[in-house]
Amino acid sequence: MARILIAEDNAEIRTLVSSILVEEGHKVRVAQDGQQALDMMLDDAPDVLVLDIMMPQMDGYSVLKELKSSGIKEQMKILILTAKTSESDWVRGYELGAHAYLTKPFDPDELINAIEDLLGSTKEQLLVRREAELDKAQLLSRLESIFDSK
Amino acid sequence: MAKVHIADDDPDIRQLLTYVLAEEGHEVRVSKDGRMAAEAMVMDPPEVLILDLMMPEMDGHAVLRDMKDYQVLDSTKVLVLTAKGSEHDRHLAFDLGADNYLTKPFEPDEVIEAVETMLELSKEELKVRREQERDTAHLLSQLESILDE
Repeated sequence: MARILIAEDNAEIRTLVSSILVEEGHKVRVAQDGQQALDMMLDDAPDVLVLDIMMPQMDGYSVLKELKSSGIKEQMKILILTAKTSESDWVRGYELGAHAYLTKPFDPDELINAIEDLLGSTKEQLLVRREAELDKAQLLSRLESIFDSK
Repeated sequence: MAKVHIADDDPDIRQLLTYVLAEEGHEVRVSKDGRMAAEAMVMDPPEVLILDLMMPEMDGHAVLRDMKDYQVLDSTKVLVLTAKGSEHDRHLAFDLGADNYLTKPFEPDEVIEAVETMLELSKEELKVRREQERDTAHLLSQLESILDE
């Protein structure tokens, strides 16, 4: 059982995600935009943050930046859940401190597995994995630029 | 924000209540039967428990008895939310330490309001209020019977 905050402006996705995660035995809170999520975390940090990127008030990237500067990110594991799929978004999320990335639409099982995986991994394991993901992204973009130049 | 626990064996009710209470800013946890709820009450008592009466493994009344035994009823307030609307069930639930009682079907707003009231008032205040309501209901029914004659 973990404490999870869901930051998502779409009411249907909020309901879906919270319903899936409470049924798994987790304690769930929701925020309807980035600013609200940040306020809630500064007050009482969860174990896991499920973060949408495109939100009003403050987008997910800004939330990640604020978390970084506030220092509360350290105890928290962050899963980005977003419709954005281009690679630069994915890289940006990791660079700003996210630990995992899931794109909408998603399967309930994918979400459950991603959360279990975050909870079952140490911060160090997650950092190693993030580095590997970033290396892979760099390699891919280098390959792309080689193909593009031909 | 409060920690709210929902104990109901009906997944639709769990989903509805989770949505309604999470949107109000509360931290929500659920149990699918009485046994799970009773364990959670001891291990991790919430501020408010929303308790169904008819559940597998252990019914709501048994959960209340368990909470009394483990002395978690002082810190946790209980809203019984049930399809059982009889006076007997109601009395029994209050005798066992419930603080409020709503019957299904319910309006989401009723639940939100009941939870807010429970968070604002002490156990003692809730009891006084309940007794006042009961006296008023009693008085009203007496008046009605006089008028009917």
